[in-house]
Amino acid sequence: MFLLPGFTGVMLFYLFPFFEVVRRSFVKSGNNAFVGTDNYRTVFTNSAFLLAVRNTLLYMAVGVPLLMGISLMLSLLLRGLALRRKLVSAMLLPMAVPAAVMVLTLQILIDRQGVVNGVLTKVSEQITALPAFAAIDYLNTEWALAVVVCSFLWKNTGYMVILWLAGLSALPKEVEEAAQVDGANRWQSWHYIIRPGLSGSFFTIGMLSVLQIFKSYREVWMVAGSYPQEHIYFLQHLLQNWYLKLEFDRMAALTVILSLVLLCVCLLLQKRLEAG
Amino acid sequence: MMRGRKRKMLLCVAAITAVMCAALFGCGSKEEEIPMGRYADREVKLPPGTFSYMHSCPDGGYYLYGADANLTYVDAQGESREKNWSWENNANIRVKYEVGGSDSGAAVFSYTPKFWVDKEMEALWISGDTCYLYCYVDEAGKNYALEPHGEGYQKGTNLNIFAFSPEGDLYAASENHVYRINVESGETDSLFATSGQVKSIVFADGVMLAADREKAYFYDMAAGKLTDGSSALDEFIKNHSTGGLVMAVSDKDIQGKVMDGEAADTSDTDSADDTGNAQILYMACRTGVYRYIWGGSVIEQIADGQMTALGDTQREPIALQALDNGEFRVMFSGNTMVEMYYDETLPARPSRELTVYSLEEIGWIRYAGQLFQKEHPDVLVRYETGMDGDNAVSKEDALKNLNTRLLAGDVPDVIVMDNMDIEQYADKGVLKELDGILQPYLDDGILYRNIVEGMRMTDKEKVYSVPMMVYLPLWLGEEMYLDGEESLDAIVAGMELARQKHPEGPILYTLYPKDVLQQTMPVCLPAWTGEDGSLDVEKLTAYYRAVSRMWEIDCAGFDDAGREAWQKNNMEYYEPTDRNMADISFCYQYNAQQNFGETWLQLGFLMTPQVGMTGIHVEKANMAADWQPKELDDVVTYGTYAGQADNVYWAKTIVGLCEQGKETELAEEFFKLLLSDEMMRKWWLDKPRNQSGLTIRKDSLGDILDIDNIEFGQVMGFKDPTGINYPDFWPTEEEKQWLYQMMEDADCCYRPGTMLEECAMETGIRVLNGELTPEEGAGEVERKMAIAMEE
Repeated sequence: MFLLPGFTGVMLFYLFPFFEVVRRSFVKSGNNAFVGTDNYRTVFTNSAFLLAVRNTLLYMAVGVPLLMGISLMLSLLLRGLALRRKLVSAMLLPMAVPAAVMVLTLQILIDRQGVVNGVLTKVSEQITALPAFAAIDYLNTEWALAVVVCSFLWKNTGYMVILWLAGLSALPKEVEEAAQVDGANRWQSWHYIIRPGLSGSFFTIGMLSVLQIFKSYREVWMVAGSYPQEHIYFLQHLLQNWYLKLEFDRMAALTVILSLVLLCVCLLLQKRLEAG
Repeated sequence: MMRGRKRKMLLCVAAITAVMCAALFGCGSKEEEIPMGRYADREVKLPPGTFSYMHSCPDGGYYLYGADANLTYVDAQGESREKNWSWENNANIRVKYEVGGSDSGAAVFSYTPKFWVDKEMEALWISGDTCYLYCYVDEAGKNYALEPHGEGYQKGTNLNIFAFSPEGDLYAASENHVYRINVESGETDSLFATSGQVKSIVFADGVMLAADREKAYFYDMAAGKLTDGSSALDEFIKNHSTGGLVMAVSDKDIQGKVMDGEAADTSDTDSADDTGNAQILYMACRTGVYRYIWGGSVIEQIADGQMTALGDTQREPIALQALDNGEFRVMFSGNTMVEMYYDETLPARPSRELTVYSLEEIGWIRYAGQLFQKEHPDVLVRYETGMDGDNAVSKEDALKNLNTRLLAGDVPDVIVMDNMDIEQYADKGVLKELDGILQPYLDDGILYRNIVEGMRMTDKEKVYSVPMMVYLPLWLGEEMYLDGEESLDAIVAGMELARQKHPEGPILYTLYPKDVLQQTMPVCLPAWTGEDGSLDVEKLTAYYRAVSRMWEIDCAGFDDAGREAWQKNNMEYYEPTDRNMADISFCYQYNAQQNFGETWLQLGFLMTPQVGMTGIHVEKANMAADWQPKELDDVVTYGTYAGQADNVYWAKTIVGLCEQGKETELAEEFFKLLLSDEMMRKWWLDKPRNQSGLTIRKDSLGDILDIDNIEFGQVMGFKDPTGINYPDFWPTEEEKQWLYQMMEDADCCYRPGTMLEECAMETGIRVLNGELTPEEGAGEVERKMAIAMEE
């Protein structure tokens, strides 16, 4: 009985809406006529969808490992430092910065007349051996994804460092000390003691990093609009634009597909972690 | 045991499902009987003239203080007589501001002078402070200078509100103080401080109530101190001040009966006057009329703003009079007044509701809603806007909100498609096909067929929405620059010629790159897409090349500092979203005289067939004070122009009906009302404020251009004070025929706010700023549009 209120809430606010989305994915928006799997077919043959999937996967493939790797390295470096707490607090600051401020900062940095171009121009002027530098409009060239990845790393690294540090602090120090006494070098300590001990954290931090990728859409939208440079056109852009264009049927189909994909990824990761 | 538990479980699930179903779908319905009686309103025909202030008299009559310095008394029966009275005797008045009247007709007003006598005040004025002088005009019309002074009053403090008590004492309020002023000596006492500018002052039984936007202050005039306020009233004022809140006090209730003070007393505070009668404070604002029994703690709504003229967001109530018979008079900004009366034959609340939606507020649609509501007392017209001025909702958020509503089945009945993607909404079955409704109008030649056909969707061959008004492209300048040429290249060539002749200063009225794009894109954008919706990149590249050259030519007349100064000087009139500067009046001489000397060629749209209709001209020209003809009458001319598309018209107030609307019949009736001569003609002639566009009804357009239908007071807002011969500026028969022909030819629709326009504008600014070449710019638009098309 004590589960009933929670169960009711889940039913009302999660399952019913999800079932409604599933239902809508099989009907045509407007007249609600049953169309079978047409909406799914339309989604899979839509080149905007394919572009968005490709970009989102690329963003994930670059962003998630970089975020996890950099934050792990930083946490290993910070682990033994006395100033650890202060440094970690400073690294958390980007998370506290409002999105609008972050976007403004980004524009100041990467605008055609921005700081980055200014510095590079100055450098190329000073070092005559280098070819003349022409200012780049980063958000409207193939550099756009690199800019987005950098801002993603800047914003999320601090948080991930904290998570890694939490994972590291849970490792028994005695084992590592015993290994050091037995002559294990740093690499061996990492490979045989720390890495296996952090396997639980890998799953959590990996999932959170993937979710942060999806959450970073807001900044991308604010800085580049609904139709950004094609390298930073993500799935959320597509969903948002479909919503504005009343393509509810396609949206529903895409939502179902995404939910299934995420579910599969979660299950696979979990299984792999349990196995290994 | 297990079976019992299972049964319990099943029962629980069934009960929860039942409760959830009841919560979601309701527990059945019952026909509800609607009680009868509610407040309605009727327009009051004001005497000729423009009035800026009304003072209510205890006998049910009222004084109207005219903008042209006269005083008119209207008695309780509506008979008016102009008094031999003027505040214009003081020849040193430049601009008049606030007025406060008394029961005798005497008044005080603030003004700025043509020249300053007081050097101290002049120094303040020169330093940039706006400082007023004051004048008292007695009931006989004699003018006296009023010079407030005293310990509590600092010289130069501006007084913005004036009110005479029933005893004849003058009270006034500055930004943060309330004063009592002796009108004869000017002796001024500071009574109390306020947190903001007081907006209303009323009197009842020895107490003055002054209200700013946050709080009501009760001042006991005999004891000379503030008394306890009312938190309920403060809360009300805080929530209802936006859009104007006016007050009046009466001892009569809405049945016209005197309310017994004892019976009405709802709190510890005494609500009764000396005679034992309760004093009632009536308040009118956008949301309706409310009453508050003096000293009480309850504020009660007695009339719903949405069902009366009070709901009109285009005009603000400036005075309220509570009559002894329970009726009210409300004076609005814009020289209009309504009487609100209780009608027992009307249902207390309408049984049906017609929902009209637009992204932004359109005064004409609101007016139509009021008219429709009057004709259908059982219908409430709910006019909803996605981006009202009070909140900061973006267009995208507003569209998302609308789409969520549509998804949930909460569909409006009538939808104004300005700045919305008509194709998209028609494709998804939101919009209803209008051919059946429009056919009789087209068969009878009532509407311009070409304009309606311009809205036909190419793939479906149906019309889903129709503009009620259109703008037509018009250039203004010297004949040599654009004579007979109709292309974008011709405009560039004309500008080059003008630059050779006038090496310095601007050629077009453009402050920023966006202005060049705004002035030219409407006549080019329709040519950029083929029938299948694909983008013609070559045309877009050619467009970017042409506008880049135009911007170069325009910038060549300035150095950087000069351009900055030009931008700064013109910011006062610069409203890029409204494209005011592209608004060329039909009466070209008028504009030429006002604008030439600043620019040599104007590209814009003919938005108004009459002079001075939009208000911006009147304000900009400041005709009453500074009108100076220039010697350009003989050389300046005008003509239509084309960019990359021919015969373009700019569709305004595009109305469609929703297929899934709940009140489809009413919606059709409303649509027909919008298309009626009454709406198009009457609105134009009676209520020109904030209205622009050429009507798509032929007969209405003819009527608007008939000078016999126009009165000075109606259109211009002032009487011909400088001796301008108004009819001289009226279109000649030849000009009218030219306009009618342009209307007949216009068949290429430009609709602002499309994805392509937004994209081309954003990229175009970068092209004009030199960040991209025209080719790069067009390429970028192509890439973005390709994604949009694929979506």
